[in-house]
Amino acid sequence: MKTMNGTTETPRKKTSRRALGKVNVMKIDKDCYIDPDLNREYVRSIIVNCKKKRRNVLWVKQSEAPHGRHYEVRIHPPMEAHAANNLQLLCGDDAKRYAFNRARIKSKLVGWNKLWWYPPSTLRTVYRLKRRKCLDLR
Amino acid sequence: MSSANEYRMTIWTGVWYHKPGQPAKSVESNFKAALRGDMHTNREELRELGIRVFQGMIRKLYGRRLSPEEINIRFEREEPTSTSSPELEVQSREYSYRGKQMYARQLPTQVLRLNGEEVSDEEEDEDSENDEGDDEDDEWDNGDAEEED
Repeated sequence: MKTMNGTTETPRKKTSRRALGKVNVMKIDKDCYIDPDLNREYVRSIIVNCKKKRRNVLWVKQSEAPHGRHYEVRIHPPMEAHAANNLQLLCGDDAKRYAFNRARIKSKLVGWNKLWWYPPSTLRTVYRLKRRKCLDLR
Repeated sequence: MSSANEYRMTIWTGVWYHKPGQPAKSVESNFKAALRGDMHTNREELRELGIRVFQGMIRKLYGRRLSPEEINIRFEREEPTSTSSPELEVQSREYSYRGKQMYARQLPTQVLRLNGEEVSDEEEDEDSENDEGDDEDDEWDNGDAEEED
């Protein structure tokens, strides 16, 4: 490629994120205990945040963790990894986890969205979009 | 025969200063294996193997001897998979801390047998080498990502 002063420059590839693919499950780590009423409100706020990014929430699942709760949120349509990480932070994800995920995404780690699992905790569905609405999305 | 599960284990060190004047570092390795059998037994075996492999890698790359107490290990949720494999993939990252910011650098990917023997040493992919460029500072992928939905 010729530059303005006439020298030749090898075109540099733009940093690509194509290897990571899109994400349809967000994972959120909440390091505190939340009352059931507040938890319901929190799940609602996740749905509102996703709506702002033009994403529908198909379901929200939660599991108990040693320091609080983990949430898994299925969104539609899927979104880019870094946008999903940003949205996770907006939905109240742990700040340090966000920073690690950001660095992992930049270094193209495919399994960047890590959330530790401590058996015997199980995932429990706390919100599910009505079936009729799910069909409308397809 | 029992069904196979995909195990994803992450091992990492605490933060340390490798050389004076350089940013603090930590290293993380992500192990992925598809195994049949009891989850607790598999986790224990992976844990033992992981510690051995991770200690060896840190000694080789940084000349540092890590005791098992200095190593953190966590597992993600196991996912069912159709086939098991006698090999496991190890992807490692070196994190460098500058203030509150951290930057990751990809270390060579390894493919290991379940006994810890190395199958091959994959080079970093062509794209990431091109992205990094020749400049030493360019080794760190520290450009801010643009917003994109």
